[in-house]
Amino acid sequence: MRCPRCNNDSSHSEIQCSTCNFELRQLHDLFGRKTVQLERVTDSAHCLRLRDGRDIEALLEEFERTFPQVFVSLYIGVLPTGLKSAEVAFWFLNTAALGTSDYRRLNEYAIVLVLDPVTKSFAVSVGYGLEQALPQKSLEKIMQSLRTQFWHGEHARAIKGCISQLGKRIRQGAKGVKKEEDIIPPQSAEDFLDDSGLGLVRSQPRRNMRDVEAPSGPEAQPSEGSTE
Amino acid sequence: MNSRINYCRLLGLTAVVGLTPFQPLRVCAASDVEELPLPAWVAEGDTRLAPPLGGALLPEMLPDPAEENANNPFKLFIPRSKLAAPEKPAPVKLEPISSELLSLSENTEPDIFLLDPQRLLSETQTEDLQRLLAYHATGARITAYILLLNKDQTLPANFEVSRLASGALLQKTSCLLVYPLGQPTRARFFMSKEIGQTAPIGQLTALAQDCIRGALQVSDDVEQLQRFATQLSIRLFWLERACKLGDTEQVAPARPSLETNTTAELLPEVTSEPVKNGVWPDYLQKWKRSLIQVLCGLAVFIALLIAGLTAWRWKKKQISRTVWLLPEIPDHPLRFGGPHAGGCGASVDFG
Repeated sequence: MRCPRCNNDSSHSEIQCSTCNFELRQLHDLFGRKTVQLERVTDSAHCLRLRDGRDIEALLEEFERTFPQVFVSLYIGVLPTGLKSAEVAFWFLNTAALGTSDYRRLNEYAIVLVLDPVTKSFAVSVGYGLEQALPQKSLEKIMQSLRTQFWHGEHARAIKGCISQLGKRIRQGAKGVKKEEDIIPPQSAEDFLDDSGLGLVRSQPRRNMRDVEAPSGPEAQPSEGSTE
Repeated sequence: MNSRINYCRLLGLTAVVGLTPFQPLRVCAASDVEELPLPAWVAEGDTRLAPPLGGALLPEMLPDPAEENANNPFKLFIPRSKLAAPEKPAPVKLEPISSELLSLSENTEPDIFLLDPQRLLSETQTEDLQRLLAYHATGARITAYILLLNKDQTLPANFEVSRLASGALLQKTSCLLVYPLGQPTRARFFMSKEIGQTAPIGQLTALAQDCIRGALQVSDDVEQLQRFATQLSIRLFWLERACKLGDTEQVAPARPSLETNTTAELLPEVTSEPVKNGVWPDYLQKWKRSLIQVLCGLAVFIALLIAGLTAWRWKKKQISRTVWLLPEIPDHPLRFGGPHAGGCGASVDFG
């Protein structure tokens, strides 16, 4: 392993870096111990165009569908002076609540990508669960292959390539299982309304709709956003 | 002024033409009939009017040929000896060429294609013809040899032509032309057995016809020979393509004829082009095998491409239907104090 700060090799059981004494507590002292929320794509430096941002988000969604345990977060922003992008990625992995709707996913299976357009550095950090599938050497090779694209300013293309290569590497160390494609239709109107993702504005039309479609069903509960 | 004169002339001409139909009437008037004497009839009769052949008078009425020649101004410049009917040439008595002369031709090198033991041609003419035949031999499978005879000479009856040119006629596919100088119609062809078995008789006859026709277009003996040789070279190329000589795949029906005598076997049909065998045009015959190989290679490549694309699509479909599960997290010591990640990562600076 390499120290996120000084990039020197360290043993597998070190609590601190033997060279620079780096540990997570130093970052806690700097940023605080509060948990932060990190979405799939955060572009606070406005480096990505809208279309590229959507493409990357769609790619990450597909990635999460292919690897149900893994999720990836991308952060693009200007970092404080003296902090490296690898340190921030390390801090995100250990303290952030990553933006996924599936809370069963653990941060041990997370991948965080951090891009600083000012210092022109890009870092990737993975949790403990991915260290076998994505060893240090593989990650370094992937980073080296992206240097030219980043140097030409093709950030979106480089990030897409990075995600694609990460997927290939993980696939080599993972076990393939056939995806269950059986879609069970909703049993009742209530199930349909609950799973449809539709939010009701007023309670009265909802009650009327239920009366028409399912007269024998239970009465609708007023939603939280209702005006009545 | 001119137009006025022309108008007067036109009027005069119209008057003459207008009077002409009435002239017989004036001649036939009653006063004139009495004045005209009747013709006197001779009792013995004129021998000129006597019916010579079955009562027909026409041959006697024809003008005398001598008078006609005298009246024809163009014939005044032609001597009378030439105007007389051409006399048939006396039949030439053919003699076989001496064996000593033939033995000279038997000992020539195989690459000497013009055999002229009597030196009938000059040195320049011999070189020209030899160059033509040598050039033909470089590109054709059928080598052409010419044995030159004099006008009144012929081959001995029992002469073995295969001994000519040091036996080169038997060693390769060849055509021997025995050509009496100045008499192309007496030329004789000797073909190798391979040609005799594969070439149709019509093809050989057309070859001889074309050669003779080409030679007869000129009167000079040497020029006739040159035209004959040129046509022979062309037609041998055609014959070679039509019969596909050297192609072992085609086996033609055997035919016993080996010798073609031009004077005896001339047929009225004339074929200007060789008969095309198969569906391949002439210009593709040379590239036929390469073309087939290229087409086969292309077909294999397309088949492999389609198979590869199908396999790639199948694999992609399988991947899209597959989810990938990672093993459970093993027990691990915490590195750098991180509960979820221990600094496994990499970074790159691209500034």
